[in-house]
Amino acid sequence: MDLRLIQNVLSARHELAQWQITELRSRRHERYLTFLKSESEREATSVRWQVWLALPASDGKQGEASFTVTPAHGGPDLRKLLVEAETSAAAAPNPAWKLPGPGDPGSAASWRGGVVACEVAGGAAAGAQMATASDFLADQVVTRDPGKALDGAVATFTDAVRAAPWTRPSALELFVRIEDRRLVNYRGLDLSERRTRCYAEFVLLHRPDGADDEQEFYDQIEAQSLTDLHLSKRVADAAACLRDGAGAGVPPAGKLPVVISGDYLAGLLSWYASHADAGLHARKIAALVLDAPVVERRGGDPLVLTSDATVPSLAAYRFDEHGYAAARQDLVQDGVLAALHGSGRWMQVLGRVPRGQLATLVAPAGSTPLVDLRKGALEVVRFSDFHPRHDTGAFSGEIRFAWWHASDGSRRAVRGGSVSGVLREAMGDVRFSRETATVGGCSGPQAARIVVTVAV
Amino acid sequence: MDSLIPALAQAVATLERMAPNASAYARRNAGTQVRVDGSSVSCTPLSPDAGFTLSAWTGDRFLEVSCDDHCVEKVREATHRLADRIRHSHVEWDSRMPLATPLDQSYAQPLDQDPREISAATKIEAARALRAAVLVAPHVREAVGIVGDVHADIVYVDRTRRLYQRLHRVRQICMGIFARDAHQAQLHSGREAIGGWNQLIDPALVAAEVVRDGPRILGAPRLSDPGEHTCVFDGHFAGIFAHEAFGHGTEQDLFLKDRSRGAQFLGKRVASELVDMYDDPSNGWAASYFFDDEGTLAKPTCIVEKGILVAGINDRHSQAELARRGQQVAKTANGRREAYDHKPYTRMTNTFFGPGTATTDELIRGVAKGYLLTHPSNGMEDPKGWGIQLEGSMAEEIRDGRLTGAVFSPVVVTGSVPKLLMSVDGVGRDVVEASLGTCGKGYKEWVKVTDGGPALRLKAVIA
Repeated sequence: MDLRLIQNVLSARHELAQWQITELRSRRHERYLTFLKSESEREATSVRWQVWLALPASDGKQGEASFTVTPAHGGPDLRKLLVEAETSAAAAPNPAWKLPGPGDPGSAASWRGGVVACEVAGGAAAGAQMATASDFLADQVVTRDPGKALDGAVATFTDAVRAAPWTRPSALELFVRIEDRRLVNYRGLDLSERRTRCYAEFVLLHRPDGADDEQEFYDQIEAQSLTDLHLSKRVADAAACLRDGAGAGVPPAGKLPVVISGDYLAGLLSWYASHADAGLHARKIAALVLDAPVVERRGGDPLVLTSDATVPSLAAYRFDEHGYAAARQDLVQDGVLAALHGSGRWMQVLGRVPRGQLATLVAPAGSTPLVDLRKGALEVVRFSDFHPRHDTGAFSGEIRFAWWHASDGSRRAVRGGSVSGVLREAMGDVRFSRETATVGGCSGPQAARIVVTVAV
Repeated sequence: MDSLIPALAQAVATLERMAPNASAYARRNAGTQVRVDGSSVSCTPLSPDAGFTLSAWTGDRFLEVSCDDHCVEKVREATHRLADRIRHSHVEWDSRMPLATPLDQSYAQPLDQDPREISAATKIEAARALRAAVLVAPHVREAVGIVGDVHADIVYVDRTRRLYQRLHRVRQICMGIFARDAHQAQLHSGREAIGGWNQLIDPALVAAEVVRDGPRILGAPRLSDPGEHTCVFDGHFAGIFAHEAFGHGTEQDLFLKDRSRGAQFLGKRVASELVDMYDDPSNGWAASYFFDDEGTLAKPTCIVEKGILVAGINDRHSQAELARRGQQVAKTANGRREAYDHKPYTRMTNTFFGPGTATTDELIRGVAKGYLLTHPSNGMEDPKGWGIQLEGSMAEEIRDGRLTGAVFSPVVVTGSVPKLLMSVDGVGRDVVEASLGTCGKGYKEWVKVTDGGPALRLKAVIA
């Protein structure tokens, strides 16, 4: 089984009005260590072809279906899958839309040797912009020799742990993945990209002097490159929390200023992006309204959010799932929902020009130094789990570890209790840090200060 | 899939000439998911997720190679690749893993009406019926109906075992999106069951709780008096509590990493004497199987008996390593992989509290001031610190032994696992299965699980 065979079979089916194939090739290398001793080493390779097809449109509707082909499938399997998909498509009428072709507004041009000329509606983004970022999706250290790159990261971790002798390194899991994605469609679009994903998860242990029980600190990070995992710093921060967090008490209760950072802040900001999705608006189930305020603003910093596929992060891309080019889209301007993002399908259903699905979520830095945000606030370092509910934006999280910062600059460690609130209110007087960071698919302020309920 | 067994057995034999233990695992998933809402319809085959893993234990570490093909030639290639890696590794021949008693067996879950023979149009109609069952609710803006079927063919081979199982289950899920003024709320319900298409039930029954409670949580405030309260968890909420409390807390691969306080509490009291808790991959609930992904036959494990932590759950490596350290623990069938190309960990299956004697009404009647917690959504464990977080969509006020009708949403439970369990002073008699679950190891490695239990009455910090 290969791409060309699938392409030939689809091209020969005159019943089909549209089709697209996405080839995904991946190679994974993994290391698992317990107390710095290797427990397991794994390698996995895979290739699969995701096929989407549509029947001719009629009365504004078209039947659609999709299926996945693997190397285990033979030619007869492919034909069977295709017949089943056509039957499913005939029973599944959906609003008609069309895949992009070369030269269509917003579509990506074929990538040739590191330069992508990307045109976006309303003007052309410079090819130079993408050329500069031609390697922005892949860590060359990983692509050159993933096994050696992992060994290097293990050594980095080991050195960092040895620099914190009061801790014991319980567990480390380190993964790298190389992904090659190629998209071809019936209109002649043929696009390729290579990206890497790196993942680390570690646990440090520490027994405070005189204590019966050990404490643990768990951390996980995912980034495009091993360097962006910042393993040494993450280990040092974790070790400091364990050392300085001995005898942690409970937090104060009530309506309090709380500093949220990292993945947790990214999760809060991403809620707004998820409700700027054209698919939710087409279905009339978005919690946000276009051109309307998204926060009850009482002060603090304005909320400004942009989707930009050219800003490096886990959400960056050269072309989206249907072949639209990397582009920048202003989603929230001064606390108002200004535009939608979304797949070509839903943007067309809404009568809008597709500008690529959600990419790196970018927020501007605030004006307050982090050190000032912390004054008189509870700074949560780890929650058990923390993300806003999709429907209401209500959020809650058990505090695994936090610092209570007194106004005089001193701090004490706290554990237990919970932080809860509702985004629309909590972000009304948000203040963002001047310092910035890239976390997962977000690039923006390192931390935010909001006033929410702390219960113990 | 079973035709691959001889090639995998040959690979195991080849690798065991170079390393103390070797095994092979192959899996092929199939099925369909149908989704219908007001704007779109889809009927999509599940990603096939098919392939095999060869595994070698060098006496020092596991080496594994995975491949996404099922042909004999690929098994040979993977064998050569793994053999090459063993050659470059340190091998300790005196550190063999124990082997189970010999067994060559095939198993299959019942499949009276094979969903793979049901037409796409019929499946779409079933999803439409689910959606329609939700649309009768007041204030519903949109509804989603989902039906699906999942089939897994699994092979496990080592020196003594050649096992093959075929697992089948179907699912029905519905979701309502409710809106009034500026308020919006979502609620879902559903079920999964082992078997074929005939296991689907009346859509109105699946949708009943969404229709009843969706409008009630719409615009509901958060609790105005967060803190410790007497609570009644319904059976579903008790289920997620069981899972997060001493499901994760007794996974013995965490014992090896000194990441579980449960290791120090085996044989000790961790809960009120009213509390019994089990993990059972053989009880017929939706996460059941005949053998785990390391060839261990499924059987129940009693984890907590009358409040005493009596046993944990394990995978092959953790049980053998604990034994090597002098801690003999019973082997359980909980070594599971997310997919054919993922590492096996100790994982839960069907985890639940055992029944008591009270009705839910009797438990509520014993509460002067408190809340009934229902519609759990997610939870998170902390096996080392014994903290816990459980989230749900609805807390209903109880005053003087009666539900007042006042509803708060969402609700979060936090606190110490043993403190919560020791406070249990009432256990319901009717055990219910919450069958839609999936579980992560930390924040990844998702596997199918269920949980459940009877209603529980206890004291909990809620907000």
